[in-house]
Amino acid sequence: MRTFMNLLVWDFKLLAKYNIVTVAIVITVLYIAILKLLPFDELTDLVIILIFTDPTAMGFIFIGVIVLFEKSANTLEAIVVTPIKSWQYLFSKSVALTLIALLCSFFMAFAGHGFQFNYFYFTLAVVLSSILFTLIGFIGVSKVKTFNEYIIKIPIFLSPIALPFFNFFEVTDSYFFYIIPPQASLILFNASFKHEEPGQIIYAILFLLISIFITYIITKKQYEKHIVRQAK
Amino acid sequence: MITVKNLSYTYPKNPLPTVKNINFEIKEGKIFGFLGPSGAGKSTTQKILIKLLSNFQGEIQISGKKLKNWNSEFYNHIGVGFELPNHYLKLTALENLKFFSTFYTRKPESYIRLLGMVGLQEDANKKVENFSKGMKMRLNFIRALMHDPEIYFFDEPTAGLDPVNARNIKDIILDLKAKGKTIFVTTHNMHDADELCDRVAFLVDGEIKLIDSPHDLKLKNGERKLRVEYMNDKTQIVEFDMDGLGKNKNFIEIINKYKIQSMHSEEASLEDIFIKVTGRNLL
Repeated sequence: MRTFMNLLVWDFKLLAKYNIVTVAIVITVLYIAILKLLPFDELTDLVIILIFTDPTAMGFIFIGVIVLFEKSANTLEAIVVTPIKSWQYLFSKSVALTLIALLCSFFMAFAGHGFQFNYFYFTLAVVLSSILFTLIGFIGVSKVKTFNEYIIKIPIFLSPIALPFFNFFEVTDSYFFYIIPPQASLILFNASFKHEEPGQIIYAILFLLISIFITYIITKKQYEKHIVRQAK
Repeated sequence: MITVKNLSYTYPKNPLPTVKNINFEIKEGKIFGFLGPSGAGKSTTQKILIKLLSNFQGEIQISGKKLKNWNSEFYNHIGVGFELPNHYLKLTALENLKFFSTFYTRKPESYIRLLGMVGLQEDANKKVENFSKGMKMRLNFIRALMHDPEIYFFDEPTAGLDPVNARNIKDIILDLKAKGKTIFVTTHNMHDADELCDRVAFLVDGEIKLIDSPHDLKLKNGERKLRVEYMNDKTQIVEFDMDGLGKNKNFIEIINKYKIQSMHSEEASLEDIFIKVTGRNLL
């Protein structure tokens, strides 16, 4: 565990040195500016959608950028011959990005909505969504070598994120979306600001936890097959 | 100690094996050189030995334990020096070493002393992106040393280095050998192999064609002749059979009468022997 904590500290330093933290702050400021400049009284739905994209889409993109940096500098070939375990490498990056997403999301929520919302559900929503989408990001980046290749993959992986918006804006009322993780994330974000049925919240938490578990198994296999073995 | 018995490996989707029935042993305090042209199977063999490829046939024992039975703790016992630089360019040399040392049980006593071994102590706080290729390679090299492992794998350890730094790296490798470390070197550089290795293996098309010490190889494959260059108005060159040299009147007359400029035994170079044995060039 001490190795993991040390690694986590180093991953924060790397995120700062490679300007990922700066980009995350700039995006947060932009989102806050959008929320402040919009001439609407009721911003809660917009706050939910903007914050929802932060740990999900941004988590996916940032993890891709970090892994591509490591691939281009060949550092992965040096990392895979150290005693580091797969879970330490994957979760350290995932947790580092999640903590940054949590901070940025709270600032956006305070700016767009104020201080009255359910911090517990909000934290769960950000943390579970971010961990899930950073792990999915590892799968997306495992076979690619350049950022251009990764950009092509982004819509394939991220378009499902937009699907639950149909239910959210009451365009549809389909249970089909309940089998994709973004629906569960959106329910938890919604529960942070509005009333949600307890059954929906329990579904959301359990579904995200199961999704993280399954995604982790796939991510670990992809990491060991495409990153460790291809590293040299 | 490394023992490899009947090692074969076929990449998934490949019809033919890349490594075929390889056998060798490296004892503590010995340097073993793996020589061969590109595509001979050197990297694949090294990847298997450092546990990046599994599903091989045969048996590998490292430090008395089957390779398959080692877990991630294995990497505390080996150090790998890569052929190409692989550092976090935005971090300094010191930060790179500290980052990698977080993974290991044993930490270096002094990072600065470690950097000093390859003349980088003054550059400890410089970002690696400002390093020359040679500096990056020297940093690569000491990173393999910093957790004081028992076994080392060096891939072209002097590639990209100037003669002074190459000499220093070779001296450090010989020092590791003197400390009883087990060392596996992959190289194209015959001079390095000759100078460093106790034994070398010639690898071609995934097979070891020959294993022997460079010294014995040169003796077995060289001509038993002595080439003498001397001054008699102008430079003269003459060759003598080494057998019965002490009784060769012509030879004795020359060394007594003329100024000798050079005298060399006509031993074969490792490169000549490689070509003779394998029918291939090293590049």
